[in-house]
Amino acid sequence: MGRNGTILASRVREAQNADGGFGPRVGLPSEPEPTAVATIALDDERGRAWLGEHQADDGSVSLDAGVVVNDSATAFAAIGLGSGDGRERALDHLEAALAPDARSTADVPFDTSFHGWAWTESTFGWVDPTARAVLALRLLRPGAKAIEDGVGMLRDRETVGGGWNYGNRVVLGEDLEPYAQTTAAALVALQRADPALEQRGLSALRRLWRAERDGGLTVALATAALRLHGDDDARACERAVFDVFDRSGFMDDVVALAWAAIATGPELTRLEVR
Amino acid sequence: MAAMDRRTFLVRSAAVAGVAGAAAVVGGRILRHPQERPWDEAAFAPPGTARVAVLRATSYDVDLDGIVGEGLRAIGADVRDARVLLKPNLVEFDEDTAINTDPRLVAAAVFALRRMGAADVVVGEGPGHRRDTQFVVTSSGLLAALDAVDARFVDLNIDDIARVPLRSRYTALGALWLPRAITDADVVISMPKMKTHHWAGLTLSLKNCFGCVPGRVYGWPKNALHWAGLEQAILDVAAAVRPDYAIVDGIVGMEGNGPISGTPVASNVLVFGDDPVATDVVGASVMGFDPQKVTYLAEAARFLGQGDMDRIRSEGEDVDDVTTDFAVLPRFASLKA
Repeated sequence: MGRNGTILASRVREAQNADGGFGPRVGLPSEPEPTAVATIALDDERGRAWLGEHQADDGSVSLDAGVVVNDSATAFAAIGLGSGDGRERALDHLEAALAPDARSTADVPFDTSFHGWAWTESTFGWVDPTARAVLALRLLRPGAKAIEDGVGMLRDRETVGGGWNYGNRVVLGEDLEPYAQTTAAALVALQRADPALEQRGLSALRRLWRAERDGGLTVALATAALRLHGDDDARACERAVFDVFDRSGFMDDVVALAWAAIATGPELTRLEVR
Repeated sequence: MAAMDRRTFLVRSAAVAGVAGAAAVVGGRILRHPQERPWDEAAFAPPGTARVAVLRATSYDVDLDGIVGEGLRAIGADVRDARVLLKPNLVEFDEDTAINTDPRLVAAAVFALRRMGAADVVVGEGPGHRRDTQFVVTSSGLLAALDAVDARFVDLNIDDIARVPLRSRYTALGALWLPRAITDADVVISMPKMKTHHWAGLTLSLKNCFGCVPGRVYGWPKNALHWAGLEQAILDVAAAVRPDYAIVDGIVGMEGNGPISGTPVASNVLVFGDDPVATDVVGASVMGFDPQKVTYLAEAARFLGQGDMDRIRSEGEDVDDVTTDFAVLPRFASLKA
């Protein structure tokens, strides 16, 4: 790790709470997603312990807001936990937690044979949570049948010309635009899954990250995707990560900081699908 | 509003797993069933007379803080010694259109509120569309505008949160986790952009409250709320946030396929109100809607604020003189006056 990469990892380390977890913003109580991503970034035992302590009986590591349960961090938790029973239970949860059937309409058409994963249990599948579940399963349980569903969903939701919006390809007859952050998340998940799909996504990402370079999470995820795909743009995008960090400290957004540390550091290899 | 300790409830524990997961979020109650009153009577006093002011502003380069001050005084806004949370609407950035509450107006409001004696003015937003808040608030120019007036921005998507039991029951949500920046504020001001909305018809100060709900809990684009029933969720969220005042940015609004892909429309007004329902009723009229036909707005007028034009004291311009007929998608043609 270079000097700057060390700085990013150090900043993530500074955000760690006394209980071993990480909050969504520096100084806030620990929660699943920042803890899971920071644990990957730092390969951190205390973070792993927090994730293990907060894993529910169903294998998820979730935020519980009553009838709304956000289990979308479980995929990153599975990666962060390391090998063992906790990871296997998290993967079991992912396999069981595909989004329910949803109705395709003229307003929002999609292929109903694919479900993907939702942000919150039993709701609609979106690109970001689907990408992270596909990544975790392809890395850790490559024979999982649910992978086909997730890859199929991402293929179906690809925007016209390549790349990904948040969830859909067309709404109310309008082709939706792709975004850098979601395109990067999908590309991290799709390494070596579908060369043509990946190439279209990479082509979109090379254009998009420059237009959206003000966003810390955006350039961090874009750098991760470009590096994992061996793209020549990775170095320029990495410089953008440090520019944003120098200007803003990523507004103390721990998930963005942790992704920046992963994207620019050695832990990125843990996300490499071989 | 009552808040409970987040540590007690938020991170799911092994003990409650399965129980919470078994309770799916389903569509909310049927709107406008006259026998149903899905709110706690004790929490919502019958709406009284509301005050709204409609002021002309022909561009963002005029004396905006003067106009904002005039509008706030016209509605009797009292922010002396208060910690104020200004909640603009920023969901996405596209330099070719008018999606967001203009940063110049937000900065002007900060300035005006300080002049009126506010102890502290913080600007908070949790973009409902973009996960990367930093991209939206930087590229839109909001951070630079706030920097110029030395005001702080809080990303409501990643702020500390507190559980707020719902006092209305249009959805099955029961409670919402809301940012401390909202629950701890003395005064919350909803500051929407005047826009059409491709699912709800229009979006003003009530719908703007969706941005108070943290995406890291409810997902993007605040998907759990849509899943609970969009109009029902608008009612429950607005009833939980209960903005004290509203300032609607209608200098340039958005018509057609809003709230993101529509077309800018210069309507040249700012709408102020001491009641979010009354403000939206007047705002909807300015856009050429019949407020009674906007289901969630008509329902909100049953308990959350004043919807009767005869009981809305309007200052400034006559609505008929400043009405701009906002184009709508064909599905919403029946909502127009």
